[in-house]
Amino acid sequence: MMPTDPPSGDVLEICILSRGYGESIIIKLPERGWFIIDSHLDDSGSPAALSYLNSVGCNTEEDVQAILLTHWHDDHVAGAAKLIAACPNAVIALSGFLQRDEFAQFLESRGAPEAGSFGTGIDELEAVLEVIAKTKQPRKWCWAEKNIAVGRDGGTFRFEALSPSERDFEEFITAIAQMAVKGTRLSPPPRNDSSVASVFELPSELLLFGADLENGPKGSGWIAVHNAVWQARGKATFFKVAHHGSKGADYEPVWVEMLIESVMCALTPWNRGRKLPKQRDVDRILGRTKMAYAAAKPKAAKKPKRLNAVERSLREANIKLTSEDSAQGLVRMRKVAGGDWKVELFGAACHLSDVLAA
Amino acid sequence: MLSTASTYRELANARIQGSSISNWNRARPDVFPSDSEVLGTIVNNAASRLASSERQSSNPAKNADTPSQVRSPSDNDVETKKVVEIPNLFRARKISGQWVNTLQEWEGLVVSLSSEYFTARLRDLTLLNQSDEFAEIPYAEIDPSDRERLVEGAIFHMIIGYARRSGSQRRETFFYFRRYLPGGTRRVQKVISLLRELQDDAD
Repeated sequence: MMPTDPPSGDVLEICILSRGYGESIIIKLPERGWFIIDSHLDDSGSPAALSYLNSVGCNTEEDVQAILLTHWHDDHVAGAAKLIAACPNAVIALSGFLQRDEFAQFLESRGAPEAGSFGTGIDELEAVLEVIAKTKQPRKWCWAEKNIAVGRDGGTFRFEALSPSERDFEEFITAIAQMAVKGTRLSPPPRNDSSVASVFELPSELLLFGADLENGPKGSGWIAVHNAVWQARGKATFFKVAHHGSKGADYEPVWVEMLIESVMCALTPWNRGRKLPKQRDVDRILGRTKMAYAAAKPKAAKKPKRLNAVERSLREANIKLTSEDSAQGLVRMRKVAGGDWKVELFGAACHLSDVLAA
Repeated sequence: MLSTASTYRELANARIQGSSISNWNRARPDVFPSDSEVLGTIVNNAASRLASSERQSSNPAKNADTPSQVRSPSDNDVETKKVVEIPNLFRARKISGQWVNTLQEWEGLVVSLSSEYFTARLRDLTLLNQSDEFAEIPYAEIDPSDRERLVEGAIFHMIIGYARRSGSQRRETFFYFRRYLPGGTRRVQKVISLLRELQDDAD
């Protein structure tokens, strides 16, 4: 499925990859290297971003400049250790809450028991930290307004974190304290308070990446980004829609004051019990811009084959099973300075208006 | 459908080969027609996947030391000669004091609790190579004595199989929850130590 044609040097490229559960974004700046936001596994079990970069002939050991892991949910970090190991020159950016004493105290009091085939819940984090310790790659622990990478020759680009805020961290630590049940697998909290939204500032472009950041009380989430961080930066020409297009991540001032009209945008779906986006989310986003795409569809690709006797037992017990996997997809956008975006769809990727179609 | 104990034993005792289920089915067309087709497909798919993974391997000698894998240099070998082990299919085990022949077993992780059911991530322990699934399981299926263990992050097993009681057998669904998850302290200390060691680099 992966295309093999590399972008020419003067091209700005954004790739959004998904398989229904999982999100990876790749950015290639004109005359610059590559940047990666988040990691998920493709059908072959490899980090999807790595598969794409290899397919277009990128020398990941030399050319990947930074990797941002926005927050510690499985759909954003699966395969991250393998990805980082393949990009030893990259700056590694992680949510700053991981280094706070409160988080260490939470881990110590909660524990992370071995939970069979599901692991401890901190396996990937441990693997990532081990790789970074071994390779001694530069680290950036991200809070709002933290620079992740800056052009060496005087600010021709800047990759900057827009969140989390201190209030986000308070919300997060309160949430995990309430869910601390000993003797069970340590699962990541469902909240996204620690998520790192980010921006690329280029001479003629602003690119906004919403991660899974949602709305929250005053001083947190998108309210904090809009009121306290974005300020007079201008309007972005691209938006990775936050949190799979959910209503809880939609903040009108972002669309009105931080994005151009008819902004180019893309999202990744959430193929889980409460699937995202919903039809009302699709309608709301398309009401903002028609230039909207989805990297995959929020539905199972196929039902596994089972014995009829097993199927009968499941029906009799009213147990509903859904497959985790959707088909893979890639939205690729390319443009040269002053030109228009050229959008290409691969695999299950589609225009947002088709994301819920059969 | 499996209708008699002798039929079941005949199937359970068979070494499951790439073509053996199909052969067995042809010999006994009156018994288990639909499930055996599904099973034959699953077994052949498993054989193909194993053969494919071996073709991709650059170290055949290493694979030769792995007992659960098929050692086959070609598709022909898989189809005609080699044995595919499906570790937990038809395994007899004792659950709540009764013997159960497993048709399918999953390990489950409780993800969330709703008003009438809980959602769990399921990992197939029978065929092993299926991708994870999500399940909505009514609370009514869980024994009242296990309800207090039904919390987010709890680990359980869901087993569908034939339970034998007093010479008869019936198909049932069983749940049992892990009461104790071991370890974790050393891993946590290691992660905390690494986090403290890996300080921020100056801008």
